[in-house]
Amino acid sequence: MTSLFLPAVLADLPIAPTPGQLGWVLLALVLLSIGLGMSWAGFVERNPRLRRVGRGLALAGLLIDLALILWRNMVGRRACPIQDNFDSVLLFVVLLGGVLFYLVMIYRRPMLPEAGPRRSVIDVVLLPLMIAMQGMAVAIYFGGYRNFKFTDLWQQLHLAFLLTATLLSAAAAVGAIMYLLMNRALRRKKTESLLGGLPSLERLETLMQHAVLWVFILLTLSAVIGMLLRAGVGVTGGPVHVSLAKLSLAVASWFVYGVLLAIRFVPRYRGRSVAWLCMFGFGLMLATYVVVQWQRTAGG
Amino acid sequence: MRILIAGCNHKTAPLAIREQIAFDAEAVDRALKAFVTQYPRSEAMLVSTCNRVEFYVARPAHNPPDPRQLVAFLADSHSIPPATLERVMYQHEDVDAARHLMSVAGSLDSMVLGETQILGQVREAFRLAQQAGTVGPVLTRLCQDALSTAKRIHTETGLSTGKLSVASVAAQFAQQIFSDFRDKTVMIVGAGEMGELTLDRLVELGAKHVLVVNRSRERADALAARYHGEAMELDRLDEALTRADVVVTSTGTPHPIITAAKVAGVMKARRYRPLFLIDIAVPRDVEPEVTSVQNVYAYNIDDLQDVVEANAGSRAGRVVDAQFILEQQVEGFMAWLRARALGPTIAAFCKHLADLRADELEWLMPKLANLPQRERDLIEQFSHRLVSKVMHDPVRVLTEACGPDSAAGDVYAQVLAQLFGLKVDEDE
Repeated sequence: MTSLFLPAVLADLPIAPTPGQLGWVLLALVLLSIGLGMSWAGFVERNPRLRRVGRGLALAGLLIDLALILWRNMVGRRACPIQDNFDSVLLFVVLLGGVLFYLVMIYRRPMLPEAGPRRSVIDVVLLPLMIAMQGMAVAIYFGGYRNFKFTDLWQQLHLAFLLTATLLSAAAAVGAIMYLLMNRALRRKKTESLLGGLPSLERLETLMQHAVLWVFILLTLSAVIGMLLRAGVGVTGGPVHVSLAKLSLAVASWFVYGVLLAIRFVPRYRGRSVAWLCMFGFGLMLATYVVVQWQRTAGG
Repeated sequence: MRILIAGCNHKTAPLAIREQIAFDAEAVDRALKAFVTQYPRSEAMLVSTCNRVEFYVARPAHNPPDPRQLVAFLADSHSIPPATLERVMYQHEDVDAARHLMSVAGSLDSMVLGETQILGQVREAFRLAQQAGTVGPVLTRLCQDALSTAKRIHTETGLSTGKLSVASVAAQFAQQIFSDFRDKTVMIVGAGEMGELTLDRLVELGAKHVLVVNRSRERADALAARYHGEAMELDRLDEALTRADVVVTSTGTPHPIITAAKVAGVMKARRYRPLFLIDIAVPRDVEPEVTSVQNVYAYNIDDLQDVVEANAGSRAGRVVDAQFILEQQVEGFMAWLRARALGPTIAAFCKHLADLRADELEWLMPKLANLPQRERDLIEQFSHRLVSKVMHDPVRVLTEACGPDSAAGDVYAQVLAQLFGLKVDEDE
C-alpha cells in the first residue's frame, strides 16, 4: 500500500517561534486591530479616506505575517507552511486577508453610476476573525507550539484540504453574515442597504452555494485521507492517533455541509435558513481547525 | 389679487393620508369647477401627484376664500374631517405661495431633488385647470413663471444631473436583491410615466423579459411592443406574479391589487424565488403586509425618501444656486403682480383726467362756436396732448416703483389716489 502514497521527501527542522518573531506577530496584530478600528470608523462616518488608511494598515499587518511565514520556512527548509501550528495559523490569517481584498476589489463599483462607489463592509466582517486567529498565534507562542512532524505528503495534503475547506467555509460564513445584514436592511428599508456596499442577495446566495459545494468536497477528501491515516495505511511510523474531539467535530462539520448541499434542492429552505446553517457550519470548522492546531499528537 | 395655497406633501403627510386626498384627472376637473362655482371670482389649480396634493387659488383681495376654507374644501371633496387635514397641510399666501409653486416646479421641494418629472406634472395640472376654465391671468402668469424658473434651474445649476430619481432608486434597490437581470422577468402593472421610467432603468440593467399587465389590453400591447415584452390583462395577475422577479406597480386603483394572500399563494409556484415589488402608485397597489411573506421585498414611494434625501445632501451647493434663481424669479413675478394691482389706480387716474378734459371741453366749446372747425379740432387735440403728458410721468414712476428693485408702488398709488381724489375698485 505504501506505493499508493507519496513519499516523505520534505525536511522538517524544528523552528519554534523566537521572541523576535513574536514581536512581528504582535506588530501585525496591532496593525490589524487599528486597521479594523479605522475601517469601522470610516464606514460609520462615511469617510472613504479613513477606510483606505485602515485597509492599508491591515494589509501591512498581513504582509508582515507573510514575510514571517516565508522567513520561517526558509530557515526550516520547508516547502509548505503547515508543518507546525504557528505557521498554519498565520497562513490562515494571510489567506483570509487574500479573500478579504479580493472581495473588496470585486464589489467596489455598482452598476448604476449615480449611486457612487459601494461602501464595502466585508473588511469589517472579516478583520475580527483575522485578529482572533492572529491572537491565537500569540497564544501558541506562549505554550501551545506543536510541530506536526509530518512523515509524508498525505498528512500535509490532509491538513491542506482542511485548511482550504475552513477558508471556504469562512467565505460562506462571511457571505451568510452579509446576507443576513442585507436581508435585514432591505426589510427595514434602510438607506444603508443601498449605499452600504453589500453584494446583492442573489450574489451572496451563489457565493454560499459554491463555497458549500467545495467545502463538502474538500472535507470528504480530507476525511477519506484521515481515515486511511488513522488506519495506518501507507503512513510512515504506523497508525495516527485522532482525538475524539477532533473526530466528532469533523463528522459534525461534514454532516452540516452535507445537509447544506442537499437543501439546495429544496426551494422552501433558501435564504436565511441556509445563511444561519452556513454560520453554524463555519463555527464547527473553525473549532475543528483550532483543535487540530492544539493537538499534541503528530499528523492529526 | 391674492394668491393662496393649501397643500401637503411627502414631508408633511404620510402616504396613508396622501392617498386619501389624491385626485385623478376627472376628480381634478370636478373639484376645480365646484370651487369656482362656490367662489366665482377666483382662479384655481390643483397639483396632485404621488408626493403632493396642492391647491392654488388666486382671488380678489377682499373676497373669500381664506386658506382655512381651502383646506375645508379639500376635506369636503374627500369626505374627510377638516381637522385631519389641518394637521398635515401647509398654507401660504402671496409671495410665499408664489415661491412655493416655483420651488415645486424647480423640484427643490421634491423627494428627488433635481428630478424633472414634477415639471411635467405642474404643466399637466395647469393644462387641466385651463381645460376646466378655472385659471385666469394671475395663475397663468404664475405657472408660466414657475415653468421658466424650473427650466433655468435645470439648465443653469445642473441640479438635475448626477441625481437619484425615484426610478433609479428603485433600480438600485432591485440591484441589492438581484445581481444579474438578464434572466429576470420584470413586470409593470398599470401605465404611468414613473412606472415606465422605472422599467427603463431595469431594462438598462439588462432585463430581457418584460411583462406588461394592464386593464386596457390596447395600452398593454402598446407598452409591451416598446419593450419587446408580453402583454397580459389584469385578470391574469396571479400567473404574471408567478413569472415575475421584479414588479413595478403604478395603477390608479383605489384599493391594493397585490395582497399578502395573493403573494403567499403564488410563492410555491415561484419555487420561493425572491420577489421585489416596487409600488409607486398613490393610493398604494401593494398591501403593506406582503413583506411578511418570506423572500418578498416591497417598497412604496415613501420608502425611497431616505435614499433620495441622502443623495440630496451631497448637492447642497447646486441648491444654493437654484435658490438664488428662485428668488430672482419670485421677485419678477411679484413685481408683475404689484404692477397689475396698480391697474385699477392707473385706470382711475386716466379716467379722472379724461373726465376733467371732457368737462372743460364741454364748458369751452359752446363759447367758441364761431371758430372754424379746424381751430376747434386743434383745441381738442391740444387738450388731449396736455392730459396725456400730464399722465405720462406719474404712470411711468408708478410702474417703475413696482419693479424688482422697489416696493414703493403701493405707497405711490395711495398718494396718487389721495392727491386726485380717485375712487379705486381694487377688486377690478
